[in-house]
Amino acid sequence: MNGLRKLLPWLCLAGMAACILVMTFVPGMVRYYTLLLFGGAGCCIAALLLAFENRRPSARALMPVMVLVATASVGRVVFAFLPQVQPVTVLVLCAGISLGPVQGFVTGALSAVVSNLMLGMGPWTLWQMLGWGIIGLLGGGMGKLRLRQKWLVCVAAVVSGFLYGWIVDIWTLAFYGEGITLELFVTVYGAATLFNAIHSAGNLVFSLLLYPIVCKKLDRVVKKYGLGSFR
Amino acid sequence: MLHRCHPVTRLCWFLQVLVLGMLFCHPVLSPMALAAGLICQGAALGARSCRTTLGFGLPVILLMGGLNLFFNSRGNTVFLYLNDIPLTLESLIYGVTAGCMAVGMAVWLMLFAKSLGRSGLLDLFGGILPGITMILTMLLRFLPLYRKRMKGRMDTQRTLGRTTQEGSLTRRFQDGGRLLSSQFSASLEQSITTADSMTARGYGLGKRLSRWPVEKLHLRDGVMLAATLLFTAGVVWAWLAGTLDCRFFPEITVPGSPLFWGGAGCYLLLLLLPAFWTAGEKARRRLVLRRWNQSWKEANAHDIL
Repeated sequence: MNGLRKLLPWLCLAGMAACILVMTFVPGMVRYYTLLLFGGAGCCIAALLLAFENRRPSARALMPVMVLVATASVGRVVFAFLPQVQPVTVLVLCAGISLGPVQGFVTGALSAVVSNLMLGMGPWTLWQMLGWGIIGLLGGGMGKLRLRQKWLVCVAAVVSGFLYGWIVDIWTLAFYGEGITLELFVTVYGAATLFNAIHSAGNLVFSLLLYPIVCKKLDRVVKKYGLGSFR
Repeated sequence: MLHRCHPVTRLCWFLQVLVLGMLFCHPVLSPMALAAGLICQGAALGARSCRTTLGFGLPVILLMGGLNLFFNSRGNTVFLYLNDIPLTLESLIYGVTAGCMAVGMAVWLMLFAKSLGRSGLLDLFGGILPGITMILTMLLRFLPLYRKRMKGRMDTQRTLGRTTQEGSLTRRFQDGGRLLSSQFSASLEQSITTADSMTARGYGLGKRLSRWPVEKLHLRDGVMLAATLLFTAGVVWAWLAGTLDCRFFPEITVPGSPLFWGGAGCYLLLLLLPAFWTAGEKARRRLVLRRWNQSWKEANAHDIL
């Protein structure tokens, strides 16, 4: 049973790889793009959530994630009146930098779920989970490589604004079926550029304001309560 | 929807429906899925909610049909030339079908979220994802607490003359920042205290679960699961035989063999299972009530007379 638990994340990752490979290389699969894309995203999220569980997080290790998810969801709901401007992306990036990649992913994925409980669920929730989760992973990578300079984080925040938009737009593509043609791709992604730019600009402002404070506080908690061994 | 069903049964049924719904982009099957979704929604949430769904669904379907009509000029049956762009019947039907599929999936996902609910989710994933479930459960308590503490903090700061409602914009901004910053640090510290208290009471020791398995598998769940798997097997058989495929371009071809009608019938029955379930529940309730009435009358006959 324990061996199976260890194996499950890898099985999910293999499922994601299989979805992507089938989609790219098997010719007759054009009609099943929707299914394959959703399956791949689901497998990816399941793999990382299971990886988080396999570390057997203690109660103390769960708490910073919970507080960050609460702050991010409340922030998203508060800023819901401005299109695309919200502090979630920057907070998830900070979570990744201070707490670690997998914790960053979980923070991002859960923020999407919890804020959508208030703003409305739908097929997009899955892609938002994936988008913010991957931003958390990105932050975790930066934290591991000690790339914690302020300007670097600002650049990462601007980039992740576009990254998030591109990931979430996959579901727009997925619902058109009939394969992903270059024209469709250019139309959808071109139309989204303005929104992504607004999101990035918002991220820049939020990262200038929030990053030094939030990361300092998180680092302090990690150091004070010895959560570092969990990283 | 699917009252008194075990969450595993509900998850299984909804997964089959969602996967099959995303699998088929078919001029017969996709509108069927949408119609069945609306029927089930009407049975579960009342006819009024159907009207709201149609209010957002019809424009989406028409928009997708229109976009396809003007931007996709494949297909043989041309009914109009507009500035040398051929408007074809095939592209219109393709767009409407894709729209039906998208709206149908949205309806099913909405019903899925409604049917499973928070307790169902916790029951399902509490075993396999205890940490995540713990976070979600605590968040449901923490979010109202967060708001309450924020209000208390604001009141305290107001006594010090720091409010976000008065003064110059810079001043307000600074005060707001100070408020949020203190709120964040205090929440982190208090959450660690909560964690320690949980550990002291034995959280994370041994094989204790983050959930209480409320629901048990009954015979009715077995019947429901069997019906789901049977109908899905029928649909998959028809699909593997290639009768559920269809081509839109250059001409719409829908192979109409008996196997196709069998597969479509199985799909329809699978989609309408919750409606049958609700009807069966109602009939059983009426039967039980009548029986109880009769037995009560017989037992108290001399009192009534």
